Amino acid sequence: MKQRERLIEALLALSAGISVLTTGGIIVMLAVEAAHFFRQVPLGTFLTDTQWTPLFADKHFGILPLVAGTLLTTGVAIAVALPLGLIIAIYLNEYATVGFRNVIKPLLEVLAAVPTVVYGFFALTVVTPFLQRLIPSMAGFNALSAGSVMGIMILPLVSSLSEDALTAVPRALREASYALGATRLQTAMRVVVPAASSGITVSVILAISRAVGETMIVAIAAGQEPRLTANPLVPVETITTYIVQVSSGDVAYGTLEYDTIFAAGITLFILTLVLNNVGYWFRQKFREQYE
Amino acid sequence: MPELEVKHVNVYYGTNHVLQDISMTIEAHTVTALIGPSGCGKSTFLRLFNRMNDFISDFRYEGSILIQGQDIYAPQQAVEELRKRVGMVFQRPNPFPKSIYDNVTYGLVLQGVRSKAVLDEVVEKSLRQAALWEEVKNDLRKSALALSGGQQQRLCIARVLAVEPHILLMDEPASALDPISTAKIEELIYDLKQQYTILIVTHNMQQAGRVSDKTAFFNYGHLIEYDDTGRLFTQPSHEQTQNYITGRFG
Amino acid sequence: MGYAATHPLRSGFLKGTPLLLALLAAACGEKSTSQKISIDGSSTVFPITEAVVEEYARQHPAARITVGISGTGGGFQKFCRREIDLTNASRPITDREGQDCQRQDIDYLPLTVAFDGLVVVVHPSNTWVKSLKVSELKKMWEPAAQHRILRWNQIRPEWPAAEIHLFGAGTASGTYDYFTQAIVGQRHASRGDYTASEDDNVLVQGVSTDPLALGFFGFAYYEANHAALRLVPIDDEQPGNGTGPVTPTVETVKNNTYAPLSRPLLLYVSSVAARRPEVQTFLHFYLVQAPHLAREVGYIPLPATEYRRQQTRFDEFVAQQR
Repeated sequence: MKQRERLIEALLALSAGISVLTTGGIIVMLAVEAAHFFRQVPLGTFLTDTQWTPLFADKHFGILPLVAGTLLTTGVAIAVALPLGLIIAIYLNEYATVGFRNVIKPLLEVLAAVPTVVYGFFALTVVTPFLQRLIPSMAGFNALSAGSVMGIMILPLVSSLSEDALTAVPRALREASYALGATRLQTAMRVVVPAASSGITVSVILAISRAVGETMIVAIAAGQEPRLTANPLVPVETITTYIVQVSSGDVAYGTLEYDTIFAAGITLFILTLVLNNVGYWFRQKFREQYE
Repeated sequence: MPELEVKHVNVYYGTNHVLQDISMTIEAHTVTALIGPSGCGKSTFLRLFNRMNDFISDFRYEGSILIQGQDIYAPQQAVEELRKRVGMVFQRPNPFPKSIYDNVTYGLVLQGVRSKAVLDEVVEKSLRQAALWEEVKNDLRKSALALSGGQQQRLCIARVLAVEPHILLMDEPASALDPISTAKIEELIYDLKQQYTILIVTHNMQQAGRVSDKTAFFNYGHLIEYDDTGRLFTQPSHEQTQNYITGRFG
Repeated sequence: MGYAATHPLRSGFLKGTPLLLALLAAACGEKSTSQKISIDGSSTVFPITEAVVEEYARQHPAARITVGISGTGGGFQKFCRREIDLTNASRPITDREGQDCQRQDIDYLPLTVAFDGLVVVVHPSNTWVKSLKVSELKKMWEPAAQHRILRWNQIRPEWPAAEIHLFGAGTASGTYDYFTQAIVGQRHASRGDYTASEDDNVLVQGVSTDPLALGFFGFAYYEANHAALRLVPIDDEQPGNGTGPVTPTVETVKNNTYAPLSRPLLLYVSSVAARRPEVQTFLHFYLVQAPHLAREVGYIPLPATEYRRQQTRFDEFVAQQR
């Protein structure tokens, strides 16, 4: 019996070890390959050059256009997901009956279960043509459409985390507000949401981190042209799209061109790592507040 | 006309009959203490007057409650308007996580008051009324959460007074406070009686004796006895009352 | 009906996945391994090869033929590593790629299966571009244009000052090599700030949905989507070759007046594969079917005599392998 326990324990430790090893392996691989890249391209150039054309005749290795594309699609996604997610969370928390909540919450979760490739084609074939009717000058591949659909994708994340934050606001604050003659809406907007703001911030940070790493939707619908722009109506390329484009193409292994994907990858990795940690730190802080 | 009239009020939570056939009359500018053991219905009774029970999903109500002759459960009664006339102070201090200033002005800002001069004046007046002005007048922009418990509770009172209600409902307002803070709140209640009609729920017999003009004793959802405070505590006409005030149960 | 019309949305990043046209042999009980033919390479040649394979499968249910899309360069790489039997190519093999094959002791034969015209297209609502000179295309696409030629009026002053959105083949595709050679004058030299995809469907999608777009890709993809695109006539500025702009049509591609953007489409067969009878059967079938299938997918067939000549060349190549 005792031996069996020990065996099980060892197996559990091994499983935990595998995930740690995998993470470690990814970091090492990214760092080693990116080091190859940075031996040939100075970090300063990488961070300040405004062009990204590693596969072409006039080679430039500035990550900014890809970062801009990533932040632009992410920005659009958050602009969609934050207000919508917050409205949903407020509605579910402050207005909806228990029965309605029980129906709508699982339905919201379904949004998170839709494969991202489906979202991508939805953006390209439904959302883009629709938006073009409103904005005729909009290009077929653009950050607006891809970002909006990505916003829908991360909606459940924002709404459920925000709802948790709203639920954590003590009942006493709501009662105080109502007792002073506030309506439900006034109470929600002036007391509950501000009191939950740190929790809502966490949900947004985690949503940003998710959107930054999202690949399929932007690869399909946002375009493949690295462009340093804040205009959401033209084609852009995100870091993830570039990595997919190169790693599925015929760029020879070991060349500088190939190493660009690791440089791009490590940029993405650092970006999401920082965001997740900021989110985690915030969440810790926010927990202390109410417990 | 009496300030408050309660006529044959029954309250149910689902099938639970929590208040049974209550009738009483309360005059303006008096303090009425509501006493009784836990779960006797006194808090539910208090919350009838600003309709805070409406948030409970299976709350049901019969009878009539009149404030200055007006039925507050009439269909045309706007709940928000009612709550501006009937302020409430809760058991635990519950200031908003905002500045002291914003806490006091909250109710007025809801009503659309934007003038800084008006708000400044109300803040000072309300904080003076709540005997907090001298302690915080230099820190109005500080977070209300930085205040001590007793100060927070007086801030909550100031927040209610700023809206200028006629009636003040207090649900064990000093139970979470130390003796010095409690004394300050009691003093305050005495002063406020000049302008407000006050209903206070309390577990503290001495407190009821000190601050109130009349006392109502509740038990198991019934109003057992309602009389001048002095008489109720010295010559109760019911045995249940006698047992409760002498500490044999509750 | 063209390939692009049936799969208008397949995106570039999926191109590395071989499109498996699984032609199952199970019913006949034949040894399927011996019947397997694998093809890869140019996405431009893909539609015609795919059409032939579909037709062939109907008549030879035992055959198992896979057709991938790795681009011409990718196809040659696999071809010379003996990973595939035939490769689609939208340009001739380069010396360097040829050497790879020699090193593996692989001899090969290019078969011309049809002509393709590269088309330059704009959005149907584009009112200003009536035609383009090769020099103007060069100005637009050469490496020096990168981050400098960004607006339409930089090409011709009378055109609008709006942004120009460029769409073109990715660097791994034969179409890219061909276009840069023909327009810029140097293979593999172009600007890099455009939407580059090995998948022509991405390009069709991009140009057809963007009023400020200009793109280039194979004639077949234009044919399949002609309603959503507008063709731009090209002036090669060579008076000996007809004057003024020429619109790509079956005629102008065949008679070579649509220059310099028309080219032969090639299918390379390796000496190893040519020895196998099922490959011989398949290629004979291919050259017989090519005239009408080429037209069906939007390419331009060779003259009938030319197909007969390709048959003869293949037979001779097979004979040499014995």
